Amino acid sequence: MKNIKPIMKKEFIHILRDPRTLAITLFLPLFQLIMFGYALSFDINHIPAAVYDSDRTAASRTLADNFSSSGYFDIQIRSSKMDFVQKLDAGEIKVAIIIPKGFEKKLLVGDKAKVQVLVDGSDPNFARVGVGYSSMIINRFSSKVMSESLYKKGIVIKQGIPPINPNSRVWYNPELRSVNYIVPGLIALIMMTVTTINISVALVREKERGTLENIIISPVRSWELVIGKIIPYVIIAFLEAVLITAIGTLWFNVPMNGSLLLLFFSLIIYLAGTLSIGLLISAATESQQVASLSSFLVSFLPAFLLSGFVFPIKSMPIVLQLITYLVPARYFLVIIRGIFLKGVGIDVLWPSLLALIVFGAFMMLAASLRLRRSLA
Amino acid sequence: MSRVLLLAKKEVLQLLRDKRMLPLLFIAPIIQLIMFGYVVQTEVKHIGVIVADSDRSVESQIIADKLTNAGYFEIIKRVDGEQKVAACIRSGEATIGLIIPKGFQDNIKSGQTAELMLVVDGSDATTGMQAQQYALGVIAARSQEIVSQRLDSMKAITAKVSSVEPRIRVWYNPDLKSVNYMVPGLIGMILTLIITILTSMAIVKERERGTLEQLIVTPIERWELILGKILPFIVIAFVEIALILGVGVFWFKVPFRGNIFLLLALCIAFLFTIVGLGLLASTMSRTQHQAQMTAWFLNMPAVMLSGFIFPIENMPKVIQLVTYVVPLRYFLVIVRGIFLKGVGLEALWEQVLMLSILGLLIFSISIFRFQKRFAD
Repeated sequence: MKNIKPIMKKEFIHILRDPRTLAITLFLPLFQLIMFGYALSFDINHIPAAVYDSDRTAASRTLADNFSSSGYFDIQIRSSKMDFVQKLDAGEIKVAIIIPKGFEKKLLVGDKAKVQVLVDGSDPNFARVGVGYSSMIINRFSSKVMSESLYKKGIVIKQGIPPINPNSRVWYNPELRSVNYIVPGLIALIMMTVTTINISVALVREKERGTLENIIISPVRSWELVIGKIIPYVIIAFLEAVLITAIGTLWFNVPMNGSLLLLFFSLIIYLAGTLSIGLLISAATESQQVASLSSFLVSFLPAFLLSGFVFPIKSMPIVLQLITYLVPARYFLVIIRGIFLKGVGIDVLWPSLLALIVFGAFMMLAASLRLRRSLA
Repeated sequence: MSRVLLLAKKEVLQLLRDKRMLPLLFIAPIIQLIMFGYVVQTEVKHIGVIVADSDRSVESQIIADKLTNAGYFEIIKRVDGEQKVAACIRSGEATIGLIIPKGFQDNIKSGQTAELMLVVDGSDATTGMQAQQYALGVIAARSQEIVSQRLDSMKAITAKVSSVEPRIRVWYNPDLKSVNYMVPGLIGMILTLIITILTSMAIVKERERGTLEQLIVTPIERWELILGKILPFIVIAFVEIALILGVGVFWFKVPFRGNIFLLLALCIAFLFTIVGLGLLASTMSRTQHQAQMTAWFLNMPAVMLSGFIFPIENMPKVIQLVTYVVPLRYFLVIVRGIFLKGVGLEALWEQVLMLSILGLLIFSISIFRFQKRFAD
């Protein structure tokens, strides 16, 4: 036990001796949170689109206006040049709405008028929303035309329209603000990557420089080395995490409905786990380049893809769903979103917390065992 | 030139000294490709629904059936009271709750508007928002069905009613497959992540170990040194490009519609910018640890702000301006355009121009800084 303190001290000196890296580790998360907190959102409401109006009548203009006033599209009205193929090809517009000649005439005589909508499907997310909104706008326009045309014939539909009226209520995040769920997720993602990558070179650096021999001949045990190396990083990472949590609540106004104490407690366990992964990598590799690449591979990718940060776990193939159980960010995400947005406590979150504890303990053990092998 | 090759050979030998490097270099992209290919589904499926049906009628049953038949929802529980809905959503078991009040069917039959209630868990806004849209869509479709049944009953009078019919066609990726969108983008992403980290560490490694002095006193020219250092990474990058292309086209069946030579030529332009970024990070660092953190600092925005997953159109204006200096932004448009749209320089020249300018700029700044540091 007494060996832990000098190791901690040495590691602290190492960290403080390189103020630039310290500054990067401290401020990188801050910068990332602010930048991405603003930048990342899934609300699609500026779809670049163009209306090609060959009819140029009152009716076609009304339809075009419906598109531009809907708020979902950034519309350019182009009446002369039919250059939609080039524009779609170059990616300047994602939706082209083409109103043919004779549009109004058909409506006046009680016919079916057609409107063509071309959607760039290369980004399926955009395309789906674009298809949904444009069919909604045209259908709405159509039902107005229909009821006007029925009215002219003297028919007024009295029965309840619509027959079913859904009242939709959203809980926990009523305006469905992306930032409310992006920011807690970002905290989990940023902390995971920054800690794993930062510590991954801690041991391998000593191997490259040949200073590991000094440790080998000293009476330090591997688990003491693991704990002594990790604690300074836990302290630094914890400070960062507190900082970005504060930014999330004070700057981005993400509601904090639950217990701060529980959040910090789970955070420390999460960080100890992610740092142990980094240390395990460091013990298992021979060069800093390999350590750095592999830590990226096991931290950023799973935390980004398999944690439920943006991609719902339930939609993944079953094999990948099983793999997500090995990703600590998955559990931490449940905890941090639960505490932030739902305000739930330990009574709901205990399974995730337990999983984090088991994961952390296991990783620490694995790191010490692997380290014992390198030291031998 | 032979000196360049010698240096490159030395670099490769050093790189491969850690036996894990070689597998890592080629397994890493494959893992990423498979993860992104399977995980990144922009369509949400298997959303948990809890149905509180107080009406227990044919109409309420139809609504519940239509929800499950749409393929997006799974009914987890059917309960009587509304109270259980809250608990089920709080614990995260269900994402949406459908509450059908008593008298639902009677209201529809008597031609009134029947109300029903949707409760959506907004704490995961991606799933929540899509679940809400799907559910509202299903309900609106049922509503429309009832209307047309009512209209059918007075068919004689409504024979000639004007209406507008949207003809929606999706181009380039008609099945809206996410994998078609992700895989081409991954070429850019994987290159950015792997090559910048490796390049940035390669030069600093010499500085850290004190072997840079030895290189300086040899008769090698500076451009030869730089070229020899980056040559191995260019080769690695091309092998990875081939790997990703192969897996993407043959395994994921992503259509390749454009000109492969154009793609490869533009890959070289892109490689210069990211190798330049790596060099830049290395000129700003004294240790590999610093270089790695700096490369990481440059990489995160490259991923998040490039439009790889989060659409640029939705970012705030200020951040949209920042994205103009992210090289991946241009390369993504290029690689997706060539892959999915099969377009050539006539549609992509703006992107190519911007990428080249940016690449030249980054590369010359890094060479300039490198020369300066070299002279110290």
